[in-house]
Amino acid sequence: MFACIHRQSGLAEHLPVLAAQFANGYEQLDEDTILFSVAGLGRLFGPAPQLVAEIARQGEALGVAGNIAMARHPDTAALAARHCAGVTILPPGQEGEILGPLPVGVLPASAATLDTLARWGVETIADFLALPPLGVLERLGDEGGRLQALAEGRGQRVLQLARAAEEFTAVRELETPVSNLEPLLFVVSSLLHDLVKRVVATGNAVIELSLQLEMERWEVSERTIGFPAPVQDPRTLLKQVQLALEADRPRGPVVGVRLELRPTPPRAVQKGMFTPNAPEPERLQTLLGRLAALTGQGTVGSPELLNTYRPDAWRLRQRNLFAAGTATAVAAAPALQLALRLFRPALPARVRLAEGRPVELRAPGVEGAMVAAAGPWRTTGEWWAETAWARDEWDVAVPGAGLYRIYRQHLGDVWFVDGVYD
Amino acid sequence: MALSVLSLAELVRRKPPAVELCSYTPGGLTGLLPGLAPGTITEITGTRSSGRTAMVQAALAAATQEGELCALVDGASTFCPASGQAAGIALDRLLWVQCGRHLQNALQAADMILHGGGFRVTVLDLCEFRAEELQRVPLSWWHRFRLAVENTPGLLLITAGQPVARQSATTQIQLAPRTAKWSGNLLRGLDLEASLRKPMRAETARLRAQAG
Repeated sequence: MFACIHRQSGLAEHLPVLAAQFANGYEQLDEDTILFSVAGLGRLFGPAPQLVAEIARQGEALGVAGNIAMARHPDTAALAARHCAGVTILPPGQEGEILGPLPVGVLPASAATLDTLARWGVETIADFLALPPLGVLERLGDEGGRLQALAEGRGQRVLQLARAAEEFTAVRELETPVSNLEPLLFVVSSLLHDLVKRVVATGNAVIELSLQLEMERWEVSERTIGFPAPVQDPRTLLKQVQLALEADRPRGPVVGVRLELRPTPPRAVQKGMFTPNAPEPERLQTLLGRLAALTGQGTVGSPELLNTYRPDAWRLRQRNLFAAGTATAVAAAPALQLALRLFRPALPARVRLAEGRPVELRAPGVEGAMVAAAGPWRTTGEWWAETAWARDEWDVAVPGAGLYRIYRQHLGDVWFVDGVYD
Repeated sequence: MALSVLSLAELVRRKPPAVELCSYTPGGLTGLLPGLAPGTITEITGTRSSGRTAMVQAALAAATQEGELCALVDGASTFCPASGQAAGIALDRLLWVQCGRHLQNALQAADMILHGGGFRVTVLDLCEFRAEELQRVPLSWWHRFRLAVENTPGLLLITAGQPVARQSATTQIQLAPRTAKWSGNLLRGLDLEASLRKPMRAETARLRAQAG
């Protein structure tokens, strides 16, 4: 059996509270109407009239007044609650009899169907139910059959349960200000373990963590840590917090901690038998965090080339590393390709020209006459932006020093050594 | 407690397990070195423009194309992603750590990666450091790397101007440039000479690194 409450007065926010007192889940049809299952509540509250009386009593305590209906089909209960004043109990098999006096227009039918019924002289639900079901199906199609089943309380439907958006937040005020990281991490650890347990209980994992540290004099320091892969292990999260705090220590004693976790469905990956081994996502995440703490933010990741002709244009991403690897090609023996090693920043150079071609190079660590030079290869672009470049590149060979790529920057007419071929 | 005669005889008979070599070496080098053994340290040394980086990138390309995850600890942040992609490296399978010419950071980063595990090829690029700097690195670092990598499917490749890992390295390849190949106004490639210093082989191999 299902119960439906249609609110007439009182606050709409109290309607879910009222439903939650009788069922774990409920379906909110609209702001004023709510549906829930009352199966099994007979043992607790007694027969249907006593159960309805209890719902009404609890509603009164919350300041909610309205119609209550009970039926074996949720939509039939909703129909009765919306259009029958007070309490309506529809025992199985008697739905059509009780709803019969209602006008046929209350049924959730399309305008064309209602128009057809009006032309047939059908005024009430009782009139509609009196029509032969097969004839209704033939003339009105599926909709006709569905409406008759609804009015008679036949059929089944699963409730679309509403879930309140749960927030995973924990706040703790410290009795004494904490200056050292170790006691602070101890506090964060206890909050984190409790929150992660709650997140995991809902079948989710953590994708982002936000930590707010309240300092003395109302200063607040916030850190947000995102994870490329959903994490369910509180130790991994704690390690990331530790690395973030070590990289950017709080400026003063901390008097309060607020921790918030953003949940996401966990990653479900079935590894193939021939998938190459890779580090566990949690271990890889920790490794990336430790490396970034060692070498600095923005220095660790997987390079991704940008869609531009600008020299040395790339960005680092970490998410790629968490994807499962697949073999793209199988080469028996890899081909040897001359590699370019870039000097960052490029080395300023002095170049002597003869007949427009470079013949001598002087730069830090590289000096000598050139025996061969190929170029110039002119490249320019993005003149409309601050990243504009315009330069002539040369490949040059300096005996005893190596093969270099040098370039003349048009702006200022200065030379640089870009890199060395190796 | 003395070992029984039977177990001593068993120890004598025991042979090191057969290791399947990885075909991560360029075609021209296979006569000299059929492949790289997992769980070992290989050093690739030479001067500038001797093809050290080309050989390392060939190994990274072969491993990443098999879907393996690899790591490049870039001591002086000189890796060029465009050049790496041209060499065939699947960049999305490469973890690049830029150490900004900080030797201690480079050693620590390599240590973290090797102890973290899961990377098929780890490259420690020390080419831009001076010989004096590298000689000051305590031997315990290389021994530690060897312990971290042995009995794992991972490989550690160290590139530098001269050998640094000493007895911790199982293989040492010495490269030297011979002649650059020019065609009109284009750099076509570089001829190299490779010799195996460890285990020592008298013969050398001629290789050509093609320019992209």
